[in-house]
Amino acid sequence: MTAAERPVSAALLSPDRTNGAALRASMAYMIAGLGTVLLMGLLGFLMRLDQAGMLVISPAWFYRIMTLHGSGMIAAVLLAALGGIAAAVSSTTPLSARALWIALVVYMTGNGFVIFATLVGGFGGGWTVLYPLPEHGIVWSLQAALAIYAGYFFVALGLLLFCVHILFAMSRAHGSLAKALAWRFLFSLGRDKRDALPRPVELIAVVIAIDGIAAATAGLIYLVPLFAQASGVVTSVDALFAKNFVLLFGHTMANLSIYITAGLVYAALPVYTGRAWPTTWPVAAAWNLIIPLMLLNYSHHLYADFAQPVGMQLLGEIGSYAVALPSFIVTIVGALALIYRSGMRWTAAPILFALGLWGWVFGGLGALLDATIPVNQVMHNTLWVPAHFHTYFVLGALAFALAYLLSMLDSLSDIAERRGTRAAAWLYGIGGAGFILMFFVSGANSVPRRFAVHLPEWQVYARIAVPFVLLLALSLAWLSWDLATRFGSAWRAARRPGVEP
Amino acid sequence: MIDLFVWEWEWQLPLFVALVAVEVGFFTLWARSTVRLRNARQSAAALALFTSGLVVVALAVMSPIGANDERLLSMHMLEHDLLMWFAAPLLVLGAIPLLADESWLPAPLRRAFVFLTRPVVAWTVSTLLLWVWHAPPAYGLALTNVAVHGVEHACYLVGYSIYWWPLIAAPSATGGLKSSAARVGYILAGATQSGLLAALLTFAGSVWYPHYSLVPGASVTTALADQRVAGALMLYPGAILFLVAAVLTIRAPAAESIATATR
Repeated sequence: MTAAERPVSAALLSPDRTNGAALRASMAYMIAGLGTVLLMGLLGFLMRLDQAGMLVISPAWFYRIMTLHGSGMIAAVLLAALGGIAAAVSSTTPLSARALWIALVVYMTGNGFVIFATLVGGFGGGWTVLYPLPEHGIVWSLQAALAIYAGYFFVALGLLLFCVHILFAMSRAHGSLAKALAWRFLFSLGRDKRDALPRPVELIAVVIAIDGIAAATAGLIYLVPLFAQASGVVTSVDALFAKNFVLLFGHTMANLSIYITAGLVYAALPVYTGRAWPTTWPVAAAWNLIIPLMLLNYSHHLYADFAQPVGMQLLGEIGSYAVALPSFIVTIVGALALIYRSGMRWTAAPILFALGLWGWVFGGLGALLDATIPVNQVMHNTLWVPAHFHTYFVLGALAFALAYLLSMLDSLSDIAERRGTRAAAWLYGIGGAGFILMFFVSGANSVPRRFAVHLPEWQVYARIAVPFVLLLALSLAWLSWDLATRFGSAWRAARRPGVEP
Repeated sequence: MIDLFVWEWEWQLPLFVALVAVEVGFFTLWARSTVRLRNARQSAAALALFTSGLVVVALAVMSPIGANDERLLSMHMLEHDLLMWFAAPLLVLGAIPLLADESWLPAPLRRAFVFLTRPVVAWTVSTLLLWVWHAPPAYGLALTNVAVHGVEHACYLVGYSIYWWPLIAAPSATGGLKSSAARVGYILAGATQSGLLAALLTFAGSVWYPHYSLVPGASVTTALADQRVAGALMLYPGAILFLVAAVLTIRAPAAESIATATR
């Protein structure tokens, strides 16, 4: 039987192989995350209209929207990704639905604070931590800064709870953390196969749990002196400390999204191609390497800070290059090899997976250029930077997350994918590519980023981007409609009688 | 702002009598149902929790917190926090063993009880009461009229007792939320509406309740600073309380999960 003939619903998440309660919690993560993405995307569209000169937004509102769009999108895509990875491992690893739900409430509480701080409190400081920001904005009060700190605090806490739970669950299921990371297999260069190897998605869950714990801890550490400063206990916070920790927190959170959703490719693509993707030595080596490398590359955002030790700058450059190698060689080449001549039927989910691979490559290349010190000094404050992270967010992480949710529905729902959904997936690629391309072109032409008001000669790029954003919005609307109509049936299918592990 | 705070207790005989009457009424019902409950520990806990709820009401209103509620909005807000987030859930925890099987209630009361404890109704009622009473005209009226002030507090207490019921009640009990997903949605809905009100109050650029700027020794500046503290007292403890509620009420959902993890 070829992959085209084999029913997708047979293998991915058959209800009798899943923990229904954990699966439902995971689905709630994905829906909450993707729902928030739509709202944040709408805010992004407003900003692009403003930059195109087609809508006038005051600078104060622009920065509020920019802050909410940026932090909201990072939190939302990560939430969808966390839901996806929990769903993927829940078919073989007992997870506590209660722990997942509580982490979700904590995380969403953080999101609520960020929304209140920006839309109600007027906070528009983004990630800026240099004095007098973020506490002493001209148009917002200290209370708004405190509310945004509280938001980041709860998001970090929610992430920490989730990652700690995943780490314990995976370690327990495999007998130890070393076994969950396939270390005996790894350090014997693939010769020692006495331990049962984790599936790639399980290995990736452990890797991201470790980095998630590190990122969340960095976020919590970063907030302590800021709270102390706000309450007058200390007069000033070391700017270099704050910048390093805020980026270790925020940049790693953004990175986690793409790496987690890459894990979903390992879980779902074999189902569509009909080919196994086992934990080989290169897979184990690549993902173990990602643990330290993902924590190093944030430093390429600090090249302009003369006080940053040179060693850290070099580490940022080396880390940024090095993290690309295992990702590219193992995951992207591996996925393409899996697809090649597999006879896979190109439904919406595989199309989005393929788009995700494409977006990850191009976003990664953009990031590599930005991580190159001489290029960075010219490009870092241009729209090149939003270009690269929008590429691996919109066409990478979000495409992967949407694809995985669609593949879950393929497995669990008794309603078939709509005829137009496939076209919507292609439209997503076209709209996304056009929208992002104009960011790259703007960056290449030195259009600055984080500017509320654009000069007339810059506006042409945003104007060209607007129709592509509309295409993207149209495709997302269709995909959302398809997901919404099939979700209820999948939700019911996830429910089976029994007891929680 | 701190200068306006006066350390004094405010003895309120009508409230005290009302609380004693409620306690006596509850005790009577409790004594009758103790035989039915057949669980001495659960029965004693119910009485202790309900009584604690009434004690919190008394402390909120008659302690220096309540005694300063007409001078400082922050104290008034703290008073409301105690009523909505501590007294109300304690009263519900105490009342649940008696009301979980509501068949002994007279038919009209039973119908009202079943209707009010529906999650959508409970959320709507608590939200409406909270927002309507924070509208400046209603709030201003409560500050100038003792009886209206009492009604305002009773509304918070009753409204939030209704709100907490679906979360605290067992899934099998009347009004009890059946799944973890529903509980999470309900908690987030409750946290969002009260958080939004608190945020509006915290970040407001003008004084909502002019009464507090007219208190001897106060000014618009002190009233605005006090208002920000009041909003923060609702915003941050509220968030923590809803998280505690999540930890306590999201249960291991035995009925909605399976454990056939296979390798």
